[in-house]
Amino acid sequence: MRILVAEDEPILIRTIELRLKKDGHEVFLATDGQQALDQFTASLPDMIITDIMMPYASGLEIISFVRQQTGKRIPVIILSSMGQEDVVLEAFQLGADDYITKPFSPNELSVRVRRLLPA
Amino acid sequence: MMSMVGILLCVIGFMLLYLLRKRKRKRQMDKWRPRLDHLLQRAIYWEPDNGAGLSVPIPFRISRGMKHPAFRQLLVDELVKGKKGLSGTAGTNLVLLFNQLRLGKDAEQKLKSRKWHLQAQGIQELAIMEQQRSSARIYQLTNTQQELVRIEAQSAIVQLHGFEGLRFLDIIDHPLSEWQQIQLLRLLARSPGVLPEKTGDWLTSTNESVRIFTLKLIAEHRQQELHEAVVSCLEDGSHQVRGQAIRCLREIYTSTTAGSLIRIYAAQISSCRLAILETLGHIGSEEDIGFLNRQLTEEENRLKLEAARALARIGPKGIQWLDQFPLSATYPWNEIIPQAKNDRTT
Repeated sequence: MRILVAEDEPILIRTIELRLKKDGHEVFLATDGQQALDQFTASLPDMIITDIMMPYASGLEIISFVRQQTGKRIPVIILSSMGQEDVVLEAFQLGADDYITKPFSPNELSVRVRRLLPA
Repeated sequence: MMSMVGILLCVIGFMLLYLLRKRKRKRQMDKWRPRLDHLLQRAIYWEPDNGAGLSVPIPFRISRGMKHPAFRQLLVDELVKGKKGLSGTAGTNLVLLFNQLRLGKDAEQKLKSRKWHLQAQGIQELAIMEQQRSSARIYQLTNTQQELVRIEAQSAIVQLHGFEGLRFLDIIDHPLSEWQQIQLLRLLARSPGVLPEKTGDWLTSTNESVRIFTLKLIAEHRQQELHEAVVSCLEDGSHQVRGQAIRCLREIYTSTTAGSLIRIYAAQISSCRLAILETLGHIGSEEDIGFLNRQLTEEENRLKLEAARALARIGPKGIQWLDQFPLSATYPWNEIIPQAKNDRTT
């Protein structure tokens, strides 16, 4: 599975990368919103994990872009912080499939990813 | 002329030295970062053998780097960022690494600094890295003069001890800002446990903001058993406390609450009257219709409107009174009454 991870905090993106690689996924990284949009077009991932608050383009903009650009249903998991419940709701309206609140456990993220994988 | 040139050369020299130093520092940081990243990832995914606790092997280059204060600070910054974003074993392992490298000492040292921004930073680091043994020192800072340090210390104590941490409310003389009250309520919403038994005592605190915050806590956590203590606050000398008590009663009302509110209504200032009418709109019954009907002739239009809304919310009997109100066809009631009825349905 090819997974695009968009997160601007280096320690978190590295932690997610290691966990997903350990699970056998191919991982593409983006540390800001614009990079995520470019990386999406270049790598055509099977799944996206994105932070909400990022420089240049937010997680919500990424979801809108993905939903408009491709006919294929690509699962999106959003990483949100405490107190961002309104934004999470907006993300679901835009087509997000799941969310995980920071602080999160890498093991929990791994389970959520597996749940969204096609059978 | 010569002295001008001399000054100019000094300035240029100083700037060059500064830039060189900055570049050297950046290079050093760039060199350290991958080593730290490697150590942190190792710690995050560390699985201690035989439950013996975490003891990540520390490479020599890291041990050597630990002699540099800047290296230790970079490591603390990364640990803090990691702990903020990660929970479960990953988060716990970061705390264990912080303890293993005795980085708490650096943070505690900051608490002794005279610079307030360093004190605030130290408090944050200790709270995020769950350093409960520093609680006593942080607790002392919950009533300090410097506002930012005080706010950080209060938040840290609640982060470390949950509801029990609220004991700082016993000692603070400085006001709790509106923003700080929201922050504390948010932190407590994530804490397990219940409000301490002494919560009622804070309603008689000499610090007005403590009384207001306590009323918010009681409402948020629906402390029904404190109903009578909250009713006593309706006699408080501060109209802000009375207003908060009225709003709090909306969450913990009993069959006697509406009567208590109606009894004090006449003696209140406009904002408290408004709060009473709003509360009666939620907790009132047909018994209160007579009182609400009399308030339709209040001097201020916003009070007339709130009384009409309360009547509309009470039900068909309240609406019937609104329809039969003798002045309903005249201004402003010809606008207020339809709006109140409309608000009920939206």
